[in-house]
Amino acid sequence: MTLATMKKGECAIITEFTDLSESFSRRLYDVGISVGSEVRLLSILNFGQLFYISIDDVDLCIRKQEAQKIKIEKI
Amino acid sequence: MRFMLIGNPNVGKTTLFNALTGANAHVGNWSGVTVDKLVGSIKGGNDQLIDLPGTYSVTPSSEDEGVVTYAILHESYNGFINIVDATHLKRNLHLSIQLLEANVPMMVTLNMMDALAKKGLMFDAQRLKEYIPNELVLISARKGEGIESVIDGLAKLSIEKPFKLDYGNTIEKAIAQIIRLIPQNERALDNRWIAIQALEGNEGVYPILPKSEVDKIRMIVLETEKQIIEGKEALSLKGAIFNKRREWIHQVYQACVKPLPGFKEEHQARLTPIDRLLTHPILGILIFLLLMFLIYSLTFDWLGNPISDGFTAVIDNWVTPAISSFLLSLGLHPEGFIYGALIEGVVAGVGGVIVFLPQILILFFCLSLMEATGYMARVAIVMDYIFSGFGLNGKAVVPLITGFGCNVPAIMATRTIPDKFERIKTMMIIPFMSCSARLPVYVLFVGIFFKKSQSLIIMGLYLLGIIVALLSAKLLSVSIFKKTQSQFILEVPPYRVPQFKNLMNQTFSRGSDFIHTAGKFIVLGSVVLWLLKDLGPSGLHVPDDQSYLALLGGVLAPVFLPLGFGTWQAASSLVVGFLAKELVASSILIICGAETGILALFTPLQAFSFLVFSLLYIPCLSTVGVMYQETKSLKVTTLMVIFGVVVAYLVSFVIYQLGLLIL
Repeated sequence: MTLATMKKGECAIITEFTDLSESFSRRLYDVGISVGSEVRLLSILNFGQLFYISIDDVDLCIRKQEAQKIKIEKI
Repeated sequence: MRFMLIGNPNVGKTTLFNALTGANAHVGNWSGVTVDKLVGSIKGGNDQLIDLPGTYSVTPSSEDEGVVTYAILHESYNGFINIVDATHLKRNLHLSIQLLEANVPMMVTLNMMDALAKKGLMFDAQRLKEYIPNELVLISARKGEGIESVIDGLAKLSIEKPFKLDYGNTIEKAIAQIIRLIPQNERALDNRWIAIQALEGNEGVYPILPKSEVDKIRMIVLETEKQIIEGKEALSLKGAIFNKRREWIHQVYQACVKPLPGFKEEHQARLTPIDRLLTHPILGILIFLLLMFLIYSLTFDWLGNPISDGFTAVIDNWVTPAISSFLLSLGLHPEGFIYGALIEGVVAGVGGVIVFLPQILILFFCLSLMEATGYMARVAIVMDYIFSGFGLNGKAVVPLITGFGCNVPAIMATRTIPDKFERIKTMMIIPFMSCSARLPVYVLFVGIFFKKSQSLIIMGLYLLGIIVALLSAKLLSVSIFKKTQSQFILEVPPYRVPQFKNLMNQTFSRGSDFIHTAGKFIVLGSVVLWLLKDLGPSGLHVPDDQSYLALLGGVLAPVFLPLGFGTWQAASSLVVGFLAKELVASSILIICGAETGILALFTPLQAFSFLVFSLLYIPCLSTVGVMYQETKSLKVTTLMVIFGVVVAYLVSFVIYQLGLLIL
């Protein structure tokens, strides 16, 4: 399961980053996202290309290609 | 005493800075960094406050953020003020930990207490003391609440109990090893901070360490990373540090943040209806285009141009004659060299900048408004769909659109793009957006050569600019910038009611930026141009076709033969156009005498090719100046200019040669 397979409104825990670039994962840490973070998918935008998520108290958007590299486990 | 104000982006840092200092801040420089340093003196005393750029982490991911490490290491200060957004405590505390670890006297100011209450939460400040013993002040910066307590608190800032977060055996061992390698020093900073930053991968700490130790420290970092991964403690060293911090933050959050009694907590974060509309892939774009159209009408037709025309009238009818008669009264000869250089060079140049100012201020105000309300993030979302296909970031939309007005503020607006290379890429294509100064050129030529389909041709040119810009972005992405991956993490801030005072401050500081840079170049350029036009091999006041400008045009003319306009008149007006694009129109009109002269000089196809070249070739001098100011790199600026000229040449060449074949 990756973040890209989540459905709107669902919640999940991030279990792994696969093949994310160093700088991108660093950026994720900066905004407070890492393995173990609880994500909620708020919406899928731009015809399925952009994932609008909420983690802790931060709302942000990431692209599909990166969402596919973030493994999750639904809760 | 000197304090540094540090906090995440979008937490009200600017508002607090303004509240603490009034409006007396001045801009300074960090040596070796392009980011401005804002210093103000705190009200009611001699204390100074340094405003650092908003950052999520001390370990830099962007140029802006690198400044924070630099300042912590090199700036002289007596303490930090860490501004924390109470409504985003979990994320904000990551930065607070990194600052606390420095063990420098620090005040924590919790902002947006009012917004926290609105969310149905309350904050237990007493409990926070158990975790963070530092001076704590609860404020609401936009309401001006708690500002006095901040100022009072600064006087008694001290370290009661050093802060220490335990990172577990593996990392603590590494920290101890690194600390031993850091030589004794005078810094107020805790060496433990340097060790942790090194382990986190902050390259910024190495320059202050002796070269002999740097390699040893790097080895320890690598070794620790290996141990962490092999011991399955975390996926990376950075991750392991992050996890420990997050654990601690969750403890703090559990202890200090409680639901207000009687308030039904909203469990599910969800999109508001307005957000659903603004981020809709089709409606969102339509709304954005409509808004842009309104901003444009306001900037140019409704408000900007009338004011500008007024300015022009005042300058032409009052200022110039006044300066002129003053100079004459000094005994200068009206045919003389100094008089000409001052009136036709300096005064005309300065006038040219000032006349543009109303439009630019209005445009900046509208853009600041879009940013402050949080709408800009929504625009970046909807445009990312189109832009990502061309290797651009959704955030590039605003600079590009601004480019239709004037390329100078457009280049400045690229500051919102975090990745350096994406930013440079965006800067390189901005000049293809047809700025308002190019319109007079189109109007002149279209009126002469394409009477029947005027607006069609002009629209076509605008469209051509957009197409060339997007294709160039694609081209750059697969060539020079092949290695840089386009990344898009866009934090979506909540909607906020902007503060008028902040908007005005921002507008005027951007406006004065524009005057400083563009002004310098335009004035200098005007004088040089006047000299070129007035001087010739035979001396002063030569006829136009014997001036150095004409000679230069003559030298360049053969280059333009394959494009269809290899005449010295066309070439020298393009040279003049480098100063300001609207001058292409006026100078060719002057050089050719009248419209009939132009008609004799070009065929319609040649005229069109000339227009395409005028649209695309080097941006004006001010734009080049701003590019240099923003990149601080001669190499990058030169690359941008050459790229523009080459693209212009190729496109005009293809159009002219194809035209010859077809017609």
